[in-house]
Amino acid sequence: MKRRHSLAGIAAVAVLLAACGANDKPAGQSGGGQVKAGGTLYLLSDSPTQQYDPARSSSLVVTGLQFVHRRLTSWKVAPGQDTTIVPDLATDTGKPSDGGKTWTFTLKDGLKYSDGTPIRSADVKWGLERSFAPAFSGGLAYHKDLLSPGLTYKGPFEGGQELSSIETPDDKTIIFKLARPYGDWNWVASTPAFAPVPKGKGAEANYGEKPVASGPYQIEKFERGKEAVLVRNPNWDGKTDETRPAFPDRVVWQFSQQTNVISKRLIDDTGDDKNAFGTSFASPAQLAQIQGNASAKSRLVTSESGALAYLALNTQRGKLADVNVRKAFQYAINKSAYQVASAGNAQLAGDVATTLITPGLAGREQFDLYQTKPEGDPNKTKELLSAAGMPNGLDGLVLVSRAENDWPRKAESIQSSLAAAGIKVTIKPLDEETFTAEVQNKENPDYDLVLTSWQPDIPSANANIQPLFQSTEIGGGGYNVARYNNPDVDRLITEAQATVDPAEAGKKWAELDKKIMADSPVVPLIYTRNSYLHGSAVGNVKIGRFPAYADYRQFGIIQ
Amino acid sequence: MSDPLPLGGEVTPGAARSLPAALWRAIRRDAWTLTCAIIVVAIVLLAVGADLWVAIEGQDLNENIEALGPDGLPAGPLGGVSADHWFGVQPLRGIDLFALVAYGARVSLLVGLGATVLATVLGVLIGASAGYIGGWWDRVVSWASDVMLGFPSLVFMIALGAVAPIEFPRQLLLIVVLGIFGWPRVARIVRAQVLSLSKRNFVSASRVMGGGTWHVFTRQLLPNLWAPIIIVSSLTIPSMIGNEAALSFLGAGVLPPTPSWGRTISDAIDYFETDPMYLIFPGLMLFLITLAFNVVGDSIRDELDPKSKGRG
Repeated sequence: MKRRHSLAGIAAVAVLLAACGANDKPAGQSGGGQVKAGGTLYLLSDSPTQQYDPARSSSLVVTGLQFVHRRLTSWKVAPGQDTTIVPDLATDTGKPSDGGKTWTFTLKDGLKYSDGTPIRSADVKWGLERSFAPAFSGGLAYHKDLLSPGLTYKGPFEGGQELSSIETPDDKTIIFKLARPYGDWNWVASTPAFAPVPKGKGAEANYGEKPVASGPYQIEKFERGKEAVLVRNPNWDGKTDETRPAFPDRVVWQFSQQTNVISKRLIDDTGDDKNAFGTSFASPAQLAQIQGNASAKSRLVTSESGALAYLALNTQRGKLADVNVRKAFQYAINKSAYQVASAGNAQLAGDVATTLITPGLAGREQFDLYQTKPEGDPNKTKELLSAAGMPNGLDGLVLVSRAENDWPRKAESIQSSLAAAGIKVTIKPLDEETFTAEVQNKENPDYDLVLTSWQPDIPSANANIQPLFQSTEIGGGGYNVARYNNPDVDRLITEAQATVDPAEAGKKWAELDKKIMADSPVVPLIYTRNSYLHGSAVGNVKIGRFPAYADYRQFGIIQ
Repeated sequence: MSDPLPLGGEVTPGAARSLPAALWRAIRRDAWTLTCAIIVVAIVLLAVGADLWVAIEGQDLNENIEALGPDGLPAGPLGGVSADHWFGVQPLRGIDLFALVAYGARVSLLVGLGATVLATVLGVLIGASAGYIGGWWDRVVSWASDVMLGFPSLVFMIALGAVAPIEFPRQLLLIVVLGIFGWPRVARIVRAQVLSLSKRNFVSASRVMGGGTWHVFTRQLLPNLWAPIIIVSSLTIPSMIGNEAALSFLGAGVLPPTPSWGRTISDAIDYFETDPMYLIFPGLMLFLITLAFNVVGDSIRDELDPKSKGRG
């Protein structure tokens, strides 16, 4: 999923000057001070709002939602280290039983909402039930089919039905009875819908503007398109929360900012903008500008790795239904040129990708079934196409990309590569909503190729493979845009999901990675690095190995 | 857009009658017009011979990241201007900017001239028939051209660009759309001219002597309409070129990989601070061609119609 500016938190101990990966720098370098509690953090966002309704949020653990909402589990994120799962509201990361079909969590003692009332297990259940209501859809949905197969449950508001697969025998205990064994359920418990909502509340559509807070901050003011002001939640107890140091006293979102204006303000670094962080990724043009400015360059933070950018081949359409034709595409793309078109150089763009599972995920194996130079080998493509009965190459293919950000320019780079290999494509740039409607929802969509990227929502290879390649994810809003349908792969996905032992599961996912790549439904391009720019007074801006998003939880003001 | 001709303006006897004669007189009289005429010819040659010039330069429209520096910007000063790349290269992709500009000129001129021809033909037919036939047809035409002139055409064109099937040739689409929105300007002027001419004695005489409608139109009216038609169409060309660039700038013009000045300018804006030459070359070309066509068009008007001295 590509646009996600959410936050997550962590790192108590704040790792102030700890030597870490390539992407961080000692906090306080520019200001000469250290990160201390207090001050106001400004978050500059290009979107008109920030979703604070947990049911509707697709925010990762490390980004915007975590200021206000806690979830059952959370992630420990640090540069240069694999991300691990840690408890948040729960005392541990869940106890599986019944071969991974039943998961039990216990809440910590003394947890309170911002209004002083205790957080009970029934509230977590209520929050999950809410996420099934059609009015509150749109958030991450990994839990839905496991708790209510076929999504037969329609939420608690109409008819007042409870979700029978969740049991809360007392105020501290919550038991999930899943439809099938699921080894990653503890990770799923870190998705936004596992944030508590006081039972009976949250029926109004704008709950996200005035939610009851469980995290370190509560919302004082929320104005869509303008700003949101978060102030400290007096009933949040840092002792129960090992992942959020919560340094700033106030967090102010500034919405609907133009990205080039954000970038200009952060480069100039004056006044309040010293305390500001840009939540959108720096564009190639901005990166070029930042490279020429020593001060700004020192305030640029780039992730080690990130979302898999890939070219999906519509496996159900025309000549692309032939696996030998699809394999020809693997050699056609000049991935070096794609790197430069994405961010100006390979260093900022991210490494060339040959696998589906992104670096930093357990079980990942590096392999390359279609070895060639990073510049690609157009002649090999032509040979393979000839062998498949197309000596004159292919003509008239439609390549869909998003119209936003730099996608059209990246698509032009792909178009150039393919043209050199005798494949002529027309680019069809679609804005975000049309893209979703055409590519993800249409029965018979009109495209041959899609240029897109995928950032797994949880650090498990499962989140990398299943949404993109299981046949149930074709159409209906799913992300299997290659429309890849292989019953063997479907079966292996279900098996791997049911594996509770992470090492064993990792092996199965790596096998799947190879098996799917052998069918060539997509051409992996790069593991996209993300770059963020921040003001000189914002410290602890770090990005772990996963996700490739800055860890907002650690941000603090240097004083 | 102001009308280049005062309505009802008449051609003074003794003014130049043919386009080449008017052009020749304007060029001889005024060094500024001569300069602009040379610019027009140069850009037309650039467009027509784009393949040749780019081949002489030794480049093409392919990506070439070797021409870029470590930050993705063109290697070398001035956006990578060198003997190999006369205008430098495009940031992030290394495509030769001269090739982009030369092939872009082809699109600009093709669409600009094509749309002008279409608008002129439609405008003459509709305007002359309205002025000559009069009655309900005249009212319909006047009403329709008022509506078209007041219509937010750019919005309509963007919408059309978005819904047109991707297989439809874009240059043709642009020509048709710009032409259809361009005819009212021509029609209004032609209609006014026809109205004033049809009251003149030589037209009445021809009619009295039994000339049919078609005869009177082709033999008596049309020869006297050439001057305003030439004037209005020569001034329509730069506005059509500008419209094409605007549509491409907004992402509703020709599709990549076909180069277009408007799209290059749109891309280049982000790089104004780091690589200004990327914006300057296509921007300058667009400025020059619209300026040159306007000046030449103005001069032709002055020659054909000395009564309306546009420039002193």
